[in-house]
Amino acid sequence: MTTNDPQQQQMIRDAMKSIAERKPGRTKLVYDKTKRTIVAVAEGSQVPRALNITADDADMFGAITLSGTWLREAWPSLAAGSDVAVRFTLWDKGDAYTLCDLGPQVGPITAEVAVGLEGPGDSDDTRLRIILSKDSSAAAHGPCTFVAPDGSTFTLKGYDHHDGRVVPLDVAIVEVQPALSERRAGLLENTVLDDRSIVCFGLGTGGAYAAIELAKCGVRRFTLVDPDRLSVGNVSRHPGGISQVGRYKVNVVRDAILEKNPDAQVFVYPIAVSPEKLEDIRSLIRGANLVICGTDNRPSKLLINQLCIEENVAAVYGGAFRRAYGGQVLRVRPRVSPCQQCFISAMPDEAADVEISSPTEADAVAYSDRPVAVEPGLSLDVLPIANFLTKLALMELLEGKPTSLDILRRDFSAPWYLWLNRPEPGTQYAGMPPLSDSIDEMTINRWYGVEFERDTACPACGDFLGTMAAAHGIDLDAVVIPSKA
Amino acid sequence: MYITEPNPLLMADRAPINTLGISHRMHTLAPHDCGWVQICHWRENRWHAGIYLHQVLLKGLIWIEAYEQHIATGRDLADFVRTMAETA
Repeated sequence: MTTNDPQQQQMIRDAMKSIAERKPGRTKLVYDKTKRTIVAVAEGSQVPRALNITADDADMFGAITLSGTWLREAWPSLAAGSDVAVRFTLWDKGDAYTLCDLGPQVGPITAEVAVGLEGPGDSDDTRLRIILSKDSSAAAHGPCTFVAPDGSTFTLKGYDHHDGRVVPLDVAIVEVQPALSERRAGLLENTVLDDRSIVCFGLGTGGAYAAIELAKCGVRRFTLVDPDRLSVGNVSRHPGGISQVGRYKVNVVRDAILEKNPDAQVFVYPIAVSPEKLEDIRSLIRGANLVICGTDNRPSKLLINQLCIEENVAAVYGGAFRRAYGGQVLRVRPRVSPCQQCFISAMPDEAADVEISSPTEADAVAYSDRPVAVEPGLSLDVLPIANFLTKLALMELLEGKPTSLDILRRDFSAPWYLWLNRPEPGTQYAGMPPLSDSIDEMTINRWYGVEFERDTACPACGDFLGTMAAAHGIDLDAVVIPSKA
Repeated sequence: MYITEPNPLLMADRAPINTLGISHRMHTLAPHDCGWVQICHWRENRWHAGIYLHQVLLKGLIWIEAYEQHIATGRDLADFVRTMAETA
């Protein structure tokens, strides 16, 4: 409320409570046309007292958000006349009450709310109550209306009893999945991604972003793999916040996914991609529709590449160049398009240009007498790369499923994509013309799809042995490999 | 790829090479537990299946030649050998 006058506040509360309860009260709110304001008229008073009510005052009731699913599940007990206790998070000093079961993350303050049908017991001194009042009027509809499984209609209202006062609370009943799908309708039909599953290796800034964005698109089955914990240094780029420092990144991202898509299935593995875990990693990849690789080192990328080829699972790889002056995205369709190994062979300089964002990454390429500096890029320079990777992943997941996004397939035909954030000195892009001066020359802030061929002699996806043998005139059928005794 | 004999392998100033650890100056990686000097070729983060074994052996031969020059001149081994380039 904007008014600081306790008497005015109480008059407003009394009047509004009377209106909410549809009971006659001592004070009524009346719009005074001459004064162009709302006045509170106290019973017996000759002179209406004008109140300066603003839009903020109209929002004085707290809001309770309850799910229709919970109400239907609780209905047998409610119909039998029992109150059902349910836990809510209290936000902003009681301004908002959110059903704890709606998502994975409960707020710092919670309270139990008693939910029950209107009746003699609803005047007890339970602190927080939600009362279902039967309402058969034709006007019974809207966010606070609940149609019970038996067809009867109820209007819900909340009450907060404290300090000798009763503060009314608005109740909104939400149907989670239909509401989540509303903003995707027309582009992605509700169930189009329900049966798609993805495995995400590496949940740094880019990998975490991609996983969460795909959850927003409606993907429901995730496997998350990353051995790292969230550090304070990560917070300025990662979706995880300062209050989650120390948690495994897989758990941070799992909760973020469930915040966006509470019906998602998320499996977490805080393990490193290493040869020792080969068969474990293979079992995670097997049967998935897509692998998203956001790991920060070549050995893990090549191991994932090998397993994806063997298990015939498509993969997308994303990464930033040093200090994120740009980045790249590679899509691999096993034995159809170039793989990660083909890419390294075809474009070794581009494959070696990686961001050094942590001491571990720096140590991997440093010498004791030639240290390598940690030179991370800005989050805003990494996110365009993650965003493109996510779009490419989405198109792969929609393969074979007609949607309005099919028109994009012609734009996503190349295996490799290049993006530049700035004309970094010391690179081949240093001399690019300014963005505003160029139409057909290479500039910053544009994606370039680059075609290149599979290496038919690729050790990972090609006929390496056959090609080598042919080049040296060796008949492989005549080669006898001695078995171990 | 390790040099097993002589052990310890000495530099021109008679100090053991294995005390340098991962050294850009002498193109070595971490020595073996028993002191063998490890010749640096492609670091793990640069290795891939397209690098043939003969290229690694070639680096070994080049390293030995450069080591001889180091002993003869006292100059760093890195003065005679470039860092192995990214390769297809």
